[in-house]
Parts: sequence; C-alpha cells; structure tokens
Amino acid sequence: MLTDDDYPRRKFRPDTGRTGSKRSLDAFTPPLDEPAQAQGQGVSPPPSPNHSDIQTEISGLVGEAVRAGYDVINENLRQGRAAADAYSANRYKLGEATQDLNKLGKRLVGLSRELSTTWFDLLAAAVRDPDLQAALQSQGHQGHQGHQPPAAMPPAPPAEPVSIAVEIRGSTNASGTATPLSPQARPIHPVACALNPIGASTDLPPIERVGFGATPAGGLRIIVGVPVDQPPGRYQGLIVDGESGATLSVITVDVHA
Amino acid sequence: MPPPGPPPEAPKRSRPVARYTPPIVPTLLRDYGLATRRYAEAYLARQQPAPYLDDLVADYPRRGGKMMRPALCIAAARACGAASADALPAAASIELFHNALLIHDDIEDGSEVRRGHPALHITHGIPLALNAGDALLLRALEPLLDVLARPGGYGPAILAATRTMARETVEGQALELGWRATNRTDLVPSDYLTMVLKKTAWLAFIWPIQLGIAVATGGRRTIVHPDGVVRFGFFLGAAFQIQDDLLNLVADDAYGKEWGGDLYEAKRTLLLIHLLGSATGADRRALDRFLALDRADRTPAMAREIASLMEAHGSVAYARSVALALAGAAAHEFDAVFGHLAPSPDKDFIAGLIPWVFERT
Repeated sequence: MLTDDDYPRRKFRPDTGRTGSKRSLDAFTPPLDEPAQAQGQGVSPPPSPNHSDIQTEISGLVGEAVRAGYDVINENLRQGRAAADAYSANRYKLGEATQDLNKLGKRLVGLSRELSTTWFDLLAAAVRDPDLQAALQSQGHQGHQGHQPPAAMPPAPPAEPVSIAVEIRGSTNASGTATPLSPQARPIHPVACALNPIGASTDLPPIERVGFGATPAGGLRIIVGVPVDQPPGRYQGLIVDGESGATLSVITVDVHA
Repeated sequence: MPPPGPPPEAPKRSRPVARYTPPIVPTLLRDYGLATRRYAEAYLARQQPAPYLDDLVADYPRRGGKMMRPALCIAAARACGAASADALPAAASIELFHNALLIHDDIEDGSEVRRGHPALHITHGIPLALNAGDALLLRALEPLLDVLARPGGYGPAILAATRTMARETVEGQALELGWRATNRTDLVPSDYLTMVLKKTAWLAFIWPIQLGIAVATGGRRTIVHPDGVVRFGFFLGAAFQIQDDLLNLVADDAYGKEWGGDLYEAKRTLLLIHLLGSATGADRRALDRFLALDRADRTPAMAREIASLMEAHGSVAYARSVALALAGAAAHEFDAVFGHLAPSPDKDFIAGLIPWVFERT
C-alpha cells in the first residue's frame, strides 16, 4: 500500500533490475489456435488460478469491450459517410454549401498548421497545378542522392479557359454570368453551391436551385432556377470541385426590379 | 428526444487466430524494410548537412525500427497488383512521417528512451528536437511530391487518405494528452478505443494499407472495400496498442523503451481505465494520489505499486483478453476484406501481422 511517505520528489530513477524478456506468445496469451469460446466473447482470459472471481468478471467485460470496439468503428465510419454525403452533389443541401465549404477550408487550414504549414498546401497544389508538377519534375531531386527521377509529364491540358453558359429559368427579370472554367489537369467533379445575396441586401433569401446541363456544342451550362418572387439584387455562388474543394467558377445572377 | 437509432450491431464471431507468426512476416519486414530504408535515405542524406539539423533529422530513421508501416504499405500494394518499386515512395513517406511524430511524441510524453537510445530531446534539448521534428515532417512529404507528378498518378487518393489520417492522428494525440492534463478518471473502454483508433490505428495500419491500395489502383478502382480496410486496421491497431501497453509493464532492453513509462506518464491505457473502474477503498485512494502527482514526482516504488494493483485487480488479464478478442475481430475483418484476393506472400504477410502483434518485442 502506498503511504504519503512514498511521495517525495523524484530526482533519479534507479535501475529497474530487468531480467529476461517475458514477451513470448505463450507467456502472454492463451493458445490462439483454439476456437473462440462463445460468440461475441472473443477468446477466454488466460489462466489465473488465484483470481477466479476476477476471471468470471473479465469474461463479461471482454465481450463488452469488443462490442464497444464495433460501436466505435461503426460510428467513425458513419461519420465518414455523412461527411462524404455532405459533399456529394446529389445530397448536398444547397443552402448550406457556402457555409460548409468555409468550415472545411478553415478546418484544413487549422489542420495544416497543426502538422506543418506546407504539407497540404503543397500536396494540393502538386495534384492540381501542372506548372508545379513540371517544376517538381525538374527540381524535385536537388539535394537527393542516388534517387531516380520520376517519369515524364502528363499531356498538358487545354491552355484556354472554357466559357460557361448560364441559363435562367423561372423569373424573367434575371440574368446571369459565370467566370470561365480554368483548364484542369485532372477530371473534376463540379458541385454547385447556392447563390447568396451580396452587397447591401445580404438578408435576402438565397437562390438554391442550381444545376448543370450541356450546351449544343458540348460545353458546360449552369441552370439557375430563380423564383418569380425572388427579391431584386445581386446573387453569387460557387462551382467547386467536390473532391478537392477547389473553386472552379463563380456564378453571378442579377435579379432586376 | 433523439430518434431511436438502429440496435447496436452484435459483436461478430471471433475467429481463431493463427498461433504463431508465419515466417513470411519477418522475411518481408526485413526485405521491405530494407528497401524502404534505402529509398528514404536518399531524402535524409545531404551533401552539405545543415548544422544542428540534418543529423538530428536522420537520427530516428537510422535507428532502425520494425518497419511495419512501410512493409504493410508495400504488401497491400503488391497484394492488389502493384510492383514494389511503385509503392516505395509512399512507404518511405510513411516511415519518415512516423519518425517525425515520434520526435514530437517523445517530447509530449516526456519519454527518455527511443529504440534503445536516449530520446532526441534528451540528447539535444527540446528546442532542437522540436525543430528536427518539424523538418522531418516536411521531409516526409518529399517522396510523395516526387511521384505526384507522374502520369496516371494516384495523387488525389493519397491526398484524401493522408488528410484523413492526419486529422485523426492529431485528434487522437490530443485526446490522450488532454486526458492526462485534466487527470480524467471517468473514462470507459469505448473512450480508450476511440483514442486508439485515432492515435494509433489510422497512422500505423489504416493509412499504410490505403496508400498501398491507392498505388495499385490509382484511386480509380475498388479492389477491396474501403470501410473494411478501416475496420481491419482499427481492430489490428487496437490489439497492437493494448499489447504495446502490456509490453510496457515487462519492458527490457529489447523493447527499446523504459519500463513503466506509461505509468510514469499516467497514460490512460486500457489497464489503467480498468483499474480505475475496479479499485476501491485504499487502493483507489492510492491510485488517485498517484494520478494527481506530476510526472517527476512519481517514484519507481509508486509505479510498481500501481503495476501490482493492476495485476491484483485483473486489469492485466483483462487487457490481454481484450487484445486477443480484438485480434480475433481483426482476423474476421481480414477475411471479409482481403479474402477474395489471390493467394500471395503479401496477403499472407498482412494476415500474419495479427499473431505478430503478440510476438513482437
């Protein structure tokens, strides 16, 4: 039993008097090739003849721990799926899009600060930016010794931005534009966010019906459903890459009086 | 009142675990570990080493280690059809990243020994060690950066997996540190398992497998179920961590860490959580007094007394049993996730890590 006298300030740690290793499988565990004794109970605890009462208690507790393990991992996976769903185009609640993306951005910034200031910035940039990829190819091995350079660059994407058509449905008093889509080195998964009012009238309801279509020439078309009673004002929303969160285009819709 | 959720899933039947580690495990740990070490060395060696930095950065990686994480990455890639060489950058990144976190962990935990030698902050002081950890964290990025530029690269898949791993790992470390800082005594096993999922399983098992699979598939095909990978990695990681906690109580020179370090640091291990739930009366008061002390004030006599209480109250037996049961769950998940893959030494290696968890030193 510990007493208060056992609690002086520790200055030095004496030798621990270690002996040989006890960490063989046999020393630590019961035979592992025996079948589990009961469903949900894992395997039986190791023999402990001096603690039979504890043994009985442990049998139940082990089952509870395994069940807790499944609860923990199921909850983690559920949260992961919920997060993925939130960023899928089909189930996205458009009115929350901009806010959620802001949260995501802030969280990533905080996370990158926790690990390093450049980890994810560099990773994300390297994945998306063909110029940086080229720079990495030519510069990436300076300072390394005996390391083979990577293979050749992928084909360059189209150099010219691609225009995006905006089609207004519903209200006849609205018009819209979208900034051109920058060339992408990799496939993208565009996700449309709600258009929120900007300027002095930020308390106006957002325009939530935003979808995609194709122009006759095969280009990208944004279809914005503007309610006939939508208050006049200027509204803006983003088209983002659902995988990386990168902004692809900014849509601007003006609702006239 | 929240709507009633689905009934809790019944624990799955634990399948028997192979009793002995198959020979392929030490073989591939050695071979893949050596290949990874050589590859990573290119990122550690500098023609003109920066003073007070590069030697420190390379210290932990050159001390060796079991190389389980990079070997698991390479094995997962090969089991899914990739060549070893294609997985080496990811494997090197994993190992360097792991070592960078070890530098910081040793400082945060106040650990004095790492891989049989004094911890970096013991030999060089905390400021230089912290700086070396930061540098190694960045250095770990370089192998991935070099392959992200390759055509048909697996960059997005690796980025997504790495982002998740990083978030989970720092959240797990925060949980453990926070519990100790606030002297939490109300924790239950599910709290511990949540912390282990985040702090240990993601970095040590889930992430390496995910990267290996991404190397093989480019993130564009589904060869194994992603949720299954997380489940397998979690159960194996939990068994691994509990066994690590147990090893800490019987540590010797081969273990490479100090005996009872977890006790001195009052880590909320499964053993300690069980003891907190079991000890009453004078035993509980002694435990509470011990936990309330600063680390430097916890004497060897106190630590050994707490270890004795863990034995007497069945905490050690309980932790052993839980580790074995979770290993059984890992074996079950392995069959569900990897069972359909063609037989291969790499598949055997991954399965063989389950008994290896209990045999490692």
